[in-house]
Amino acid sequence: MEEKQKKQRIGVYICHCGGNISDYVDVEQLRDIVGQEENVAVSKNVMFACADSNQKEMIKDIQEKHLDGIVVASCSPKLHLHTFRGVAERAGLNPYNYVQVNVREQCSWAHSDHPDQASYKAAGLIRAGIRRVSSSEALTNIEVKATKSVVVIGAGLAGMRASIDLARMGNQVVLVEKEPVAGGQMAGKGPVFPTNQKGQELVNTLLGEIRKLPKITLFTSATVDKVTGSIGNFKVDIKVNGTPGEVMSFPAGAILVTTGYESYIPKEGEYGFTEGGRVITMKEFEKMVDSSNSSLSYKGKPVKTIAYIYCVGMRQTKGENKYCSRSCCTAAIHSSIMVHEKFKGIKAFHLYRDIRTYGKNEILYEKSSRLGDTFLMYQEKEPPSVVQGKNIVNVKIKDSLTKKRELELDADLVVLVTGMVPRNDSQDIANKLKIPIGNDKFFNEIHPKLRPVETVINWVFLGGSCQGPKNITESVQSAMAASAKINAIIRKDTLELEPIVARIDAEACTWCGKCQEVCEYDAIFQIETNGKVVASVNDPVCKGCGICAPICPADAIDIAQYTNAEIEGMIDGFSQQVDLNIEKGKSGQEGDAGGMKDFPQIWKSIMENLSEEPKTIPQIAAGIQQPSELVTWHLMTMNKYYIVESAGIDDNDEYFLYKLKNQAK
Amino acid sequence: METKKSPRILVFSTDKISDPGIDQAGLRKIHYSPTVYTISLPCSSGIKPRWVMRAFEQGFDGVFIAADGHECSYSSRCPEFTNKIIEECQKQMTEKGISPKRIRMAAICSVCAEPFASHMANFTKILAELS
Amino acid sequence: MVIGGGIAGQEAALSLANMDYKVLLVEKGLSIGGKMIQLSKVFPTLDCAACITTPKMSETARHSNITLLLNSEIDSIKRNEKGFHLEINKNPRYVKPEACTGCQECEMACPEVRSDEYNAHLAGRKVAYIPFSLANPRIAVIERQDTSAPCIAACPGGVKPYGYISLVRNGQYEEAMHLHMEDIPIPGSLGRACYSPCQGECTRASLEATVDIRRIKRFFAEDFYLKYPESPPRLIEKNSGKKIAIVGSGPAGLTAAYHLALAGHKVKIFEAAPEAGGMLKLTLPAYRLPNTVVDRDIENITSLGVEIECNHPVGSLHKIKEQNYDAVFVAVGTHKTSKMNIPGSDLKGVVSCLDFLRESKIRLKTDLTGKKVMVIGGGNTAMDSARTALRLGASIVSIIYRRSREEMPAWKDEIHEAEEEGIHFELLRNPVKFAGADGRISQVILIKMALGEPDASGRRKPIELQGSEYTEDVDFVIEAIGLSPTTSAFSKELELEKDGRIKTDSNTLQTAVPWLFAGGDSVSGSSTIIEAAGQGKRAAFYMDKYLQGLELENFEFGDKLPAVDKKKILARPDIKLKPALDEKVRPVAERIKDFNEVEFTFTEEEVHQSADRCLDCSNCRECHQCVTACPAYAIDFSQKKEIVNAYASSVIIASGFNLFNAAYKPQYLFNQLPNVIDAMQMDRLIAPTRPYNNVLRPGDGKTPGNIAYVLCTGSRDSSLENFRSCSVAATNNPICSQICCMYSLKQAQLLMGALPMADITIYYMDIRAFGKGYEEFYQQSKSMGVNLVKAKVARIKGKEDGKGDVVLRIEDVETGQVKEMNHDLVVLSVGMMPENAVLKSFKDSSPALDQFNYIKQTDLLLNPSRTSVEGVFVAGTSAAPMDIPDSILSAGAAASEVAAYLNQQ
Repeated sequence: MEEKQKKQRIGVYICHCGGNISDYVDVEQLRDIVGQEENVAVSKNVMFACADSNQKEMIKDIQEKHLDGIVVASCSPKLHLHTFRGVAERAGLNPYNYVQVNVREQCSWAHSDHPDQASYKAAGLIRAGIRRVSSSEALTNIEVKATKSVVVIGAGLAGMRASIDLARMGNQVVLVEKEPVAGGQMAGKGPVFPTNQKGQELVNTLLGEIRKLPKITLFTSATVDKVTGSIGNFKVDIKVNGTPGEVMSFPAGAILVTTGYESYIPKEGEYGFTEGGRVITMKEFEKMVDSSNSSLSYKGKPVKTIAYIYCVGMRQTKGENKYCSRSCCTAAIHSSIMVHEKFKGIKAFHLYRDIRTYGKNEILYEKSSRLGDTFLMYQEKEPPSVVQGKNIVNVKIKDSLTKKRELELDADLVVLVTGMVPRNDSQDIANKLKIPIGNDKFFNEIHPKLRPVETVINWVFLGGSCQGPKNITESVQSAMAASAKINAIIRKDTLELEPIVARIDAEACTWCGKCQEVCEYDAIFQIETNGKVVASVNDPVCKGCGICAPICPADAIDIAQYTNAEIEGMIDGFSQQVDLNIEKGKSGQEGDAGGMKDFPQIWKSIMENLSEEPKTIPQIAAGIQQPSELVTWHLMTMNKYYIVESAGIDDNDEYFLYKLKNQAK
Repeated sequence: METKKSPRILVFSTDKISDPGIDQAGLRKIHYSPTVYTISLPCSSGIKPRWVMRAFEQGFDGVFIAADGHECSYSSRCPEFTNKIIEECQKQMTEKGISPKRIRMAAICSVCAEPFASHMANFTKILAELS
Repeated sequence: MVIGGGIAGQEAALSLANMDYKVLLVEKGLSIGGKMIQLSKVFPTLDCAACITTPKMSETARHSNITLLLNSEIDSIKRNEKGFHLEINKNPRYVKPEACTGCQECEMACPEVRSDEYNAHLAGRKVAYIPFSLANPRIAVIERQDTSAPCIAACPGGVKPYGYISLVRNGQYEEAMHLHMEDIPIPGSLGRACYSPCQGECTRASLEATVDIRRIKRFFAEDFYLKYPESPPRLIEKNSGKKIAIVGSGPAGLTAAYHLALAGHKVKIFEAAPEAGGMLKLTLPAYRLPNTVVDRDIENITSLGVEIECNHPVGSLHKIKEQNYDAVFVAVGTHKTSKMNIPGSDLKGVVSCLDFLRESKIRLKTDLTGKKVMVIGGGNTAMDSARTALRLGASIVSIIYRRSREEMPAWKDEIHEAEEEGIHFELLRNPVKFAGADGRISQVILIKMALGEPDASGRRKPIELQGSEYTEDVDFVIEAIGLSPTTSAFSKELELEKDGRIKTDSNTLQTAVPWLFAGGDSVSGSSTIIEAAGQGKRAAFYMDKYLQGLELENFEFGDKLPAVDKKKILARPDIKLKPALDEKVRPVAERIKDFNEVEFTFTEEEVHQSADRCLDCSNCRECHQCVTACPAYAIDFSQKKEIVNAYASSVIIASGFNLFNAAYKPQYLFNQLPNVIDAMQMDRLIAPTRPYNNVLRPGDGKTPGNIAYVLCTGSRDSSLENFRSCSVAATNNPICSQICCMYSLKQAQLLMGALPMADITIYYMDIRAFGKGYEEFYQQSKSMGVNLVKAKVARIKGKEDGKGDVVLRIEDVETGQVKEMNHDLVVLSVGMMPENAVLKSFKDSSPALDQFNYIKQTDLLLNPSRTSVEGVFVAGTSAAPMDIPDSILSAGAAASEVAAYLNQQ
């Protein structure tokens, strides 16, 4: 890689931090030593580098002395990196020509027990900083132009709700639904927990709002054909059924996937399940309840006894779906309550593993118990057996609630409480968008807490239960959270991103494709330049992690701010010999009690009690005649304030011994 | 501790997780050897073996990688990548007659002040025994 | 505005800030981070809570669109045309946030320990502290708790008696001196002659007798002066370039000069008398206050470069000002004495008290050998005059006072000592005429008095009893009936009260002439040394602001807090009586012969005995060890509560939840058995930032080998209503808290890593592992060997052998048996309780609550962030129990809804 022009006029500021650094590190000597370096134009000590007065002085120095690089040796960059970048910027210096050197957290404090050596280390750290800044490059933020429109795939509640927010925030939205009608699983559905609103009514409400928002275009019977382009400028081709051959193309700044789930369909024979039998799925049952009026009957026979079997197809430690489907317990119990409220004299048996009516829905569980429902518990290893007779179904269960007594009941109907499974077309969507699929076959976000609605593909987002089972509120919430993220990136024409990205040295690159393979963000692609195939980086997509760099056999990749010159410069800087004149006596000056001059009475007793030999807490408690819990509380506080420390554990590995800090064993 | 005998260790840390963890050691005055120097990077999977080799050339006795492990926010495969880098380094080290024990890795989280200090103590001991 | 800086609040704030909305994030705690930052690792991925949340915290703290208001509570939210008008109460931190570097030196130095909230009370922390090692912003706080010791509240000079008593108790005499010098630079004089208003308020005074605060001060001042006969040099780095003239070198002038010099101004004092010190020097008798002490006190001021020019009476303030002074402070005192103005007043042998005392002290002594002396008046000057007369050889000295002893303004000790020395008190009489021959007094005609109704001053008015006149022989009369300001020279330049006092703004002590400030007795009338000194300090504070060109009304002087309710202190269980030390004074027969001091200084032993009587009434000791330790001068005890006014177009409530207080289930003996802890405490024990050196049980530090979890503590429980002794937190909680099963499993897994030998049992009703990856986590825990028992825990008790183990009485659901199980540590998996205190601040319409006291989500399924009030939204656990991922999503949803709402308006 081409040797860059090294910086010639570097300013170095070494902070006292009011003694936090200078009590252990000889900052004056370091200033003088560093000041002699050829490319250092200014070398100063400052009482508090972060103080406003010093910031002003730095700006003055940068401008008057035409500094081309700045090193601040003070506290951790986590505290003031941005402060000093701001200083550089205000002075007209590129903020990336500034290096923060951590001589507090990683030097004076970490080595306050060896102040003589702390100075040597600080010298190394500062010289490394000087070398790093001398090889630093002026960088500018990456600008991404973004189209202010979003394609939302899937017009269930989540997709519809997100589209409404996105449109209200001023974005164009194209909402694509595979089915002929919008609404997803809620289309045509009856009452849902916990509000008893009808599914279809929820759909109608949202559709009503969508019609009022001209920024939303809804396509039904439509599928995503192809997705091209990238971050900020996707092109989404949509095929609408019934209009043969017609593929429409839409620009999109971002894509939101809200394709939802499917209900699990039990296998033939699973808990006696057969097509047309008296063992039906939850979904069928809900429809049946909703459409029946005066009485509940199935195939002409009144239904008086219902057995609900939970966790069908779910929570299978050895089977396909290992996960819990989250909302089915509540849905089943809610249905059971609906049945009681609508029809008289129905007996319900719930055959469950754990009832998971979490949160406020617990009161539904309580209510169904009050209504007389019977709950029987089975173990995964011993599932209930279901045998269909002509008009009844015989169910046997070993009930864990009654010492695994085998119970037998004849039900008019068995409802299999089935959960959510990924849609069978999800692989297709994943392929088109290049988004990953998790172990549970649902789409995978980057991180459930840090980036719960983002995928590794930049600006392709997830919402609702295509990510995993969710109830309505949770589904809608996640889609809305995605809307907020999307709006933040596309609301302006251009978005600025930090310039810490990978760069390819086209001369060195021989295109082996290894970098492309390891990049999880799809940021590396092939280009032809000067008749040669080489790698290239899609800057806005690159996260700057650097995973690609060590992989490259030609060493053709580096990361801005972390180039070979900068890192190796640092290593060299650490290793340079330093001639310091440090008094030998200046060591271990840390007070035993870290500056504390007075102690609570009980501390004094404990200290006295520990003055001769290490002891356990019960021994100290007996010695000073205080309750052992009080001694624990205080001793641990003393431990925190460096007055005592642990001195190993007793022979039974039960009680730690404690001694006064800095006291020989 | 004698200054001259104390092995010099180069630590590669990560900006978001392990470097803050090393800071915590300082904040809580948990001491480790003053011949430990740290370079912070975005991710431990970005460490180039040549940097490691440069450290040995420059007289470092050991290189320690304070990785994010499974907490890495860039890649779920980070531990795997980092491991590969270590393997590559060890290969080059062996070629140069440097003991592969002179490079080590551990996951250090943002509050792992004590674990970091004890890793440094152990590594210092190992390196002292090697020389 | 976003209320609450937990994970939901941060997420909502960041989402909105990234959409370029300006966000005001109000957090009542000292750092953002919420409860998540207390956790060890989080389920189901077992990633470190800190690693996930600290980057988010720094992003929030740094975001240019987010303004953080920490340590703040919302006072009122009212709707207006822009949306909402907010009044936010910002509590003082007593640390300047911009100066603090988070170095923790103050915490290390602080001698007071309190329970650490961050560590769920498993250990202590200091009163000066950084909230926790990961706090963001990392700024210290001094927890003064809104009150201070009564002695501190009582001192008109702002001195901190409790602070220096605690330092003296620890042998830190020099530090005690420094603490005193922060406020008033004349501790030597005060230690001898202060009337100690602090002692009047001392809590111990209501037990057996006050702590001898003044004499403790006398001790450390003396100790310091012995050690440093000359004032140690003190470098003042600031130099304002301003010049100040002070007229008068009494306590007010000296104290003002001292503080102004410390602030970097050049100060010169003009003193009319031949020596500096004002009343301290001129009139206070040497047996109470030797001149050497006053001189050493004055050196504290002159060593800062303050110049004192004696024999320089000031006639015109303007003329002084014209000599290139930027401001002038007038503190000329009350050196004018009132006269009886009765026939014979001009006779020889009738003198004013000040003339008499001054004569006796610095010039020639009046010889009164064998004379009969009468002193008119009942104040301290009268006592001083009488006792001085005695020492000058008078054979009989009597004090004539027109009211009774109760009304005497003199200090009780003074009266007592005077009486001891044989001064006669002739009360309820008044002279009506002095008579004599050859122009020299020989007789006084006195009239007897009676007390009538209280007058304007509240004292009973003396009434002459007609016909009660009588005559007494006398050789010498000293009139000590009142002092008034010597301000007549300035009457053209300054506005004066009728009695000669200078008119000033009572707060700033600025006169109508902006550059002219006045204080001390010449403003307040004859008062005490400490009051005058206090005024000097006040004047200096405002003069400094004036010299900087600042608006004076923007600054509130002082660092005082109201006094703590003494009843609270006296109600402490461990209060023991500790009688005061005997007085240590010279015998009467000896002391009346000379002007040597009457009182002795405490010995070191005595001062400790005396200081040990202090009841420690403050939370913060106000010893200012933190102030001394702080390298960045960041500690500022003068911070006050602030009301911040703000506007918001929309409000997001993300104030989080409370953990169920397990003490509300009395059958579990939480807080009673040390080895029954709650789950937050266990999370702290497992976290790398733990308060202990390992996972240990709090009862005795044993490494636990057999740990039990009791799930659904305070959740799915409608029986709580029966336990009514406490607040809302004890109302029943029939719902499921949604997180306890998972966090218990998480802790179990982490414990198995930390304590490989330990057995872990979880007593549960249903395991609710419903989220993404949760069921898998549950199955993994089982396969790791966590013992899961479906059982109800009826009762918990301590094992009888007293070794700290705990016995659980359980009802095993699967076997139907009732059993007693032995564990060495029990963790109560406590649930979430709603936190809705913020609703009180909604002054017009307040968001409705649901039946469980969470904020009602009025359109739960389609607009889950909406509340019953337009423009007010809810995020996270303010609306319902939820785990971290759900909170984050809910916060994102709220941000989306707010943005859509604002964009539509």
